[in-house]
Amino acid sequence: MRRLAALFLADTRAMTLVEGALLLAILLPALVVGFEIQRYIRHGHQIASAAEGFAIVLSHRARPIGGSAVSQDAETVAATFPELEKNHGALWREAIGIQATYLRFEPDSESCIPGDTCNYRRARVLWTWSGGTAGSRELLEARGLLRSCAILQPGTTPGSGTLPEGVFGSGTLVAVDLVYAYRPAVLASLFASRVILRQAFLPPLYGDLEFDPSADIGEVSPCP
Amino acid sequence: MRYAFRYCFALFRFVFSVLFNGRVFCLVIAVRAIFFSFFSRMRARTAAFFAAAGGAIAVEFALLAGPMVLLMIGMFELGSNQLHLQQVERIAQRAALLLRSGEIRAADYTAQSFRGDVLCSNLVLLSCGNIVVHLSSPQSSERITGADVSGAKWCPGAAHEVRLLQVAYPVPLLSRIWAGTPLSTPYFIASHALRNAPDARTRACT
Repeated sequence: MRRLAALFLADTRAMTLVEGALLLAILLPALVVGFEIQRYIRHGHQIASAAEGFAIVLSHRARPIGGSAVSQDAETVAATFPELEKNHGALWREAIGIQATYLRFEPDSESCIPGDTCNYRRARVLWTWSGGTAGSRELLEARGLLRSCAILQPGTTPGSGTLPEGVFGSGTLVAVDLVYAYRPAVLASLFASRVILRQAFLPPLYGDLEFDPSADIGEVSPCP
Repeated sequence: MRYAFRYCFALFRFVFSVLFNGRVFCLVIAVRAIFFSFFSRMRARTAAFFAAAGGAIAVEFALLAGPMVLLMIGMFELGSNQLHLQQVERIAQRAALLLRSGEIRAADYTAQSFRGDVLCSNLVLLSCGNIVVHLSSPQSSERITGADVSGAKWCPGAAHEVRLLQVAYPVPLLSRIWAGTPLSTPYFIASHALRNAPDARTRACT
């Protein structure tokens, strides 16, 4: 082997070809990585857009909510992120973790004066909806995002018990969490999937979105 | 010269055997001679090609030029696609924001007037005439896809209804060739969901 290697290094023929082959070995993976990064960024944008769209459609409702209403509004996720239906067909809801939560902010102290001394650093979950499928719930749970009836606190890391510091205030809020396991298009078996998490927070625009007890419960979990 | 002679002789033997004798043996001998002559000549030429050192760099460059040019086109296309895509996303997002905020109402426009007045008002890089705009319910049967935008329509819908705004733009020609679909026209699509305001005017699809 050593003799062969020495012969190869001593030979000066076909230098351009060898140099070109060395360059191609770097440039080709660079092209593939570039393509993959572009695809990842696009998926990230589309998931952010899907989360925003779902939050807008929910928060622009004008009356209390039933189970089928939330499920119907979740259709916008597949509409704004078409790769879901392209890759998973009718089972797209199993492939993405979708969660909608309706929250009410509460003052830290009972005796404070609203608009003056009150500090709203607690958010009470009024109802939550988590995708309606086992796959969706699993994805949310694996990321520690599956919300239940609880009091949420400000936090820097996204989690089931936290909300970003900036969204706290008086009133109510619609929170949407989307979790998607991104798989590379090239050499998918070699690289592990990467989780993309996007969240959207919007206050209701026209009216209170509390759960309507007379409506169908569907997949909504109302809190006592 | 030697090969030319051998080739001509073999050809002559072949023609002669077919025309006058018609015997299979002669035919086999003749065909073998033709092939022998041809391959001997090819082998000699290949050996001469590999033995020659002149123009080696030119030959090596010719071998490398193909993959290098393809690589360059690929890198250029990646950048170009990203630029086009960002532009489509940007104009669609801006239009959706205007509709969501109530600053403009879908019922006041047709697809053409919306494209001209809203989408094309701040256009960079894209050609206004190529933009396709679609507004409908978000159900899958109502949507346009990257492969087919022929069903594009403008359906502002009624109050409280959910709408999906889709803006499509044809993928650059080079990318279509690259993807192996030069004859069809795939589209970049940006989609945004919105809900009509409670006081939205109802208008039929156009």
